[in-house]
Amino acid sequence: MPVIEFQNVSKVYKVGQVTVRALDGVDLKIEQGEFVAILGPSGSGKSTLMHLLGFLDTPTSGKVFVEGQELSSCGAIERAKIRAEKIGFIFQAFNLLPRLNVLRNTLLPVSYSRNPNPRARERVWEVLDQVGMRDRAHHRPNQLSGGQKQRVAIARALINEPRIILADEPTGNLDSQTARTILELFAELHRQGRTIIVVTHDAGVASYSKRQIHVLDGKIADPTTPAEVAAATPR
Amino acid sequence: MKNLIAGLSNGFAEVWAHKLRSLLTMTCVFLGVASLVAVMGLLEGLVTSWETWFAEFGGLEKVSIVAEDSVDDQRQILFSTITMQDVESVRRLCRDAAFISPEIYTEALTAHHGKFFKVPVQGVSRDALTVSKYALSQGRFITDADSLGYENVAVLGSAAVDALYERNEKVVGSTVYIKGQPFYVVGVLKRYVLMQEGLNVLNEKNQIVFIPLATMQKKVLGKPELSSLNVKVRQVGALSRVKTQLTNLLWQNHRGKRGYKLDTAEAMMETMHKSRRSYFAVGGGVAAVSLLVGGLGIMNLMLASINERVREIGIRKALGAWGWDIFVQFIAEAITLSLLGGLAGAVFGVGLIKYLQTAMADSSPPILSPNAVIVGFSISVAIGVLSGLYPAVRASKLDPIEALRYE
Repeated sequence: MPVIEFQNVSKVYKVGQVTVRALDGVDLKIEQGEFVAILGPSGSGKSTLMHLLGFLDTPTSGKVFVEGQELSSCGAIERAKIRAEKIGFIFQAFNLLPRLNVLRNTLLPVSYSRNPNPRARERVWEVLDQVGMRDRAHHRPNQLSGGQKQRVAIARALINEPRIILADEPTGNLDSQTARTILELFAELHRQGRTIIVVTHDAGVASYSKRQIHVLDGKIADPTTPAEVAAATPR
Repeated sequence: MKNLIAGLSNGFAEVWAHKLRSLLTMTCVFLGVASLVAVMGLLEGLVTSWETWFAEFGGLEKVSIVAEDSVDDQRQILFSTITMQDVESVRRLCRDAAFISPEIYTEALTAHHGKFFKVPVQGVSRDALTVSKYALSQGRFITDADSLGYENVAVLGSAAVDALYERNEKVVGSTVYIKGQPFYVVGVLKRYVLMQEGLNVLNEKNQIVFIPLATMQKKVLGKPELSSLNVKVRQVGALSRVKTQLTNLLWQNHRGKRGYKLDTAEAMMETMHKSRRSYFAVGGGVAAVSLLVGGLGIMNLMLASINERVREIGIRKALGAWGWDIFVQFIAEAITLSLLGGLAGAVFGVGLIKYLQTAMADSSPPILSPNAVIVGFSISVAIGVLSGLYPAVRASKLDPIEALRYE
């Protein structure tokens, strides 16, 4: 069963009198344990797709399934619940809260989970270990480098043990060396069995994935299967 | 609940992060709550002082029939004095009169061992003690036997004792001269002190000498007319009935003639309540304006704070916070602000009252009422909720996508 499935999903915005069809009849299946890159130029509908995948938004039409359950038109509360428990967000701008230290930033999603892990206080050290930030637990974000901030953001994304890690240009603000270590971290998480979706315009980033989905003019331009990607991607 | 506690702790962190701005915002709530606590304490003190004074002169249960002087030459036709027959009628016909005290006043020179003191002397019966709320500090009061036997006995108020006796001199058992006649002192009244505006407003109760009514009528003044007839009703609820009964009874006894009037403390009570209300309106108004300004300040700060933290709201929402979580976070911040201001205000108000209790010892000192602190505290929480409501709703409704894009 796919972790996430889109069936004929469209998203239409109205800007004044103008109707913008940001996504147009998208079909998409992401299986458990996949490492998927969503590629597309600016204005292609990539961000809209990410918002829908991240349950920040609802489709205008079509069906969205999460682990077989249809959640196309669920309300804001239900979407918040899915975000808290099933999705770990990683942003280009890291988006750590400046006044909280690393430990409290990492623990933030726990307070929004409807079934918070009673072991969260121990788990936080595990995830900080995993991203190599244990010794910075009491630092504030402004005392960290870009790469370190992104590591904390990854730890935060992992704390609630979500089914899907959704990363939006995760290396966009990092130098190439740091970017590589972050992408290695993603690869490692993928090897541990996590489903990872990276939204990017950078083919280099996409090369770490096992499957690439190209979005163009609101449509999936070139659907590829994992097998095809595996065949086409030299590693 | 868990959310609210976490929210309050976050709120405290936010307040701490912006110390000066928070302090300025809290000042109005602080002033409002402090003035509320202080005003309520002052009022409580004032009202308690009035009530004590009022009760010490008999309270609402006392009805007085007081003799009035006739001013014109129609005295023979219109004027009629209060007599012992009236006392008998009241005793017989007015069942709600629990105690009946006929009294005769005169001013007389009293003397003891070469000291003189001009003092109001009252001829009274046993019931005067209860009706006019006196208490003894030594000896006994006038008894029925004293009246029946026309005894020359006296009970002295503390002012008379101060004027006529040396300190530590034995008073009960001594002899005083009243209008030249020797009286054996059988009792001394309690000393009454209630300071208002630097004056002992109960001093009137100390300036008194009591002798038996019959002795006054027969031996001192030589005439039977009463100065007043005071009645203590069984309960305040019976007051208007007793007034009607007394009016009818006097009308009958005096065949429509005047020369007396009925007095109760109702009018004074009403004045007291009116003053209390107007004082409270003024004091409460000042506090209310300050609290309103405080609330607006908090609302303003919260709105500014939301504008600064749109992105934070977006991040929190992306991480799974729903509207309610954000709402609680912001309302808790507003409550933290007003609560801290309110707490500081309540503490300051209590301190102010404690200080005024010593500073105003001779002028109705304020009374610290737990109610004032509870009310002040609750109002500060209410202000937090009210002023945080709109900003918190606005924050909770922010679209996460828009909020995340916000720079």
